[in-house]
Amino acid sequence: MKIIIEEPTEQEEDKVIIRCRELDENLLRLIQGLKMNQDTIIAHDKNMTYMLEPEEVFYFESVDNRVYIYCKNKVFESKQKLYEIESCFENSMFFRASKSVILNIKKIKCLTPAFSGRFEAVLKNGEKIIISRQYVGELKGKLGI
Amino acid sequence: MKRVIKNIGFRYVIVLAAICSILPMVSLILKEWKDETSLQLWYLTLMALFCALGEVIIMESETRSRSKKETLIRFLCHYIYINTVVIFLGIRVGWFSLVNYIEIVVLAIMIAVIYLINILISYYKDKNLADKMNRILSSMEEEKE
Repeated sequence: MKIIIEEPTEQEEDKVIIRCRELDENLLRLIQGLKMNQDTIIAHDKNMTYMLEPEEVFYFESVDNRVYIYCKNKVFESKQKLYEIESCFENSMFFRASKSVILNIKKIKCLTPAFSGRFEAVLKNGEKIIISRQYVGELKGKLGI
Repeated sequence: MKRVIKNIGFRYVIVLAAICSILPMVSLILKEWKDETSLQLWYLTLMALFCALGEVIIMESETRSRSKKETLIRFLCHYIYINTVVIFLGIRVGWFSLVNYIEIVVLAIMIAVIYLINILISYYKDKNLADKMNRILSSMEEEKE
């Protein structure tokens, strides 16, 4: 694969053009990575592709080597790995709640203790997510405690 | 595996210290201390090791999050396991006898009290933190509105 970087003219905006015969897995992931940095999330459901805003996402969960995106009433799939999503949203209101979950703080309705130093987050859509003890520190940091 | 061994080792040290502090007091209260001191110490060490192995019952899973109900059930199983180990080895060494069941009941109650105190202190601490975090979440929600 050739990579060519050109300087645009003054009137032109920055853009990325991908020229390919076929959109394979690697290229899809590259596009998703670029789109993530623009604060949109590429989500898949059956054969459809959607562009989601981070505000719509309640949490990401990794199950059986697949990453799922949970919104208020719907679940999508992401082609990205959880660690890639985590690094994309490092300085946002998303944080790692457990080994397999990245949670949106803005979607937390309330927190309750869940024994052994863990906490249970009740989300605005009624779902409950357990925050592991080792990640409570990260939540505290995001909340400024 | 490393995490399991580290947790068991830590728990072993804590339990050994607790047993060395509590059991002599129980023996002094209920009956006279025996002369076979070195054999007693070996049994104490063995007891601490078996109690520490019970850590695998309550250790947090790396692969999935446990619900509050499951955690409480595991605490109960851990309590039963600890009682079984202590009472079995205690009878073996001669600290207790099945004939004088009062000693066994007293021991079970003492262990239950220690468990309850530990759980309550931990819960109280976590509740305070949860309330603090909930206040911050509420203020974030109000700012958004």
